[in-house]
Amino acid sequence: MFRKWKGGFILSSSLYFLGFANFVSAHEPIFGTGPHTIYKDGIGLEMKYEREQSQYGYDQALHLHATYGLTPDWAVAVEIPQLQKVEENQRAAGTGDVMLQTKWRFYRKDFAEGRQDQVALLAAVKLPTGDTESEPTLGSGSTDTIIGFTVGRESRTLYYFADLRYRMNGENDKKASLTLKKGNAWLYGASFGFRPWLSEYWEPGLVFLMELFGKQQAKNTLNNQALENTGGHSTFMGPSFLWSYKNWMATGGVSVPVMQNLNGEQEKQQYQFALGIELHM
Amino acid sequence: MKALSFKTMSVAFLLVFLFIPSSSNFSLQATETEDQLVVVNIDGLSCPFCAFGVEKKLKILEGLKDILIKMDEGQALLTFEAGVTIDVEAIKAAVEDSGFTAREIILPQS
Repeated sequence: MFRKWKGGFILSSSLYFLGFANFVSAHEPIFGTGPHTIYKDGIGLEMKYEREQSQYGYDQALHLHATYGLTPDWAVAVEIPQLQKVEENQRAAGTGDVMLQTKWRFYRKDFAEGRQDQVALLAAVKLPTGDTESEPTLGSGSTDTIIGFTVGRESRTLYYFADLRYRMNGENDKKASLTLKKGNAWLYGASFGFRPWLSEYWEPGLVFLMELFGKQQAKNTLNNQALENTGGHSTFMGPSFLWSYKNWMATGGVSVPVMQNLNGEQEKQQYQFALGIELHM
Repeated sequence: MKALSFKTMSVAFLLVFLFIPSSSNFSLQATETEDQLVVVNIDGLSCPFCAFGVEKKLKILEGLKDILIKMDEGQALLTFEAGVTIDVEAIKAAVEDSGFTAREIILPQS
């Protein structure tokens, strides 16, 4: 579960953002999230590849994400990640922590000029399904919950999104009399997008976004003792795109850190990359 | 799982996506004189990807022959078979189920 690194215990390659950033994704940011849901009885399938490169290794994930629209404003989803983690001379691969998600769009205002203002509440539970015996570990060993909200304004040409979420991490499985708890975290994001040219329904559509997102995390605790080399504040920024054709959408983006104010000595992130494909049925 | 599983799962997921059919093309047919054309003005219709839900929900309306979504005008043009009773409430409900608002429904002149 832990490894010694520069004098302090840290979580083994903690998948800094992967698996936490996306909520019932649709036509919205790919690193952050937005208030979109899916039409009633709609099914959305998404496959997304993500990679996080850090100083001494990398994590990559292939997420299979399925969404169902209970109503046009309430969606539920499940996300199953396949992970590969590489740290210095160690590597592990397999299924990670499964996440159950829901999103309720409680406010929606439609305008005649093709504009839509929306606000949604989010909730998710991450289950400890990933392997905690591997080195590096594929799961956190804890049940974590996330709540938050997101707002968005979409028009034919411009897009604005913002979100704020709070992640409450549970305790690990208490192996070897050690109780590890990752620090709770605030996650936030803001995005601006534009459609370079207007397209009709039967034509491919393209949207470019600039995304800013970050995480402020408290220190982890081991047997209720704070671990110095954990927690901190990081902010990332980068461009992304959404390319759609009828019920198909391809997404992609890359982000780099603009600020990493981490406690003590910690491995720093270098970039994140994502590429996905989504189908609505 | 072994290290191979990541690649194996990647390929498996990709194959699943490749073999899922896309939505069928639903182009507007030449309207016969006896067909009934209904114009639905829809609020909030911002992106073509989201408009798929509008098409999907409207396509199940009884007697519908054809549909054309026009993003620039924020409209759905519905062609119903001759003699079919057009259910305005069903049209409104279909648009609402797709996550948008039917502001105005213009029925054919009788």
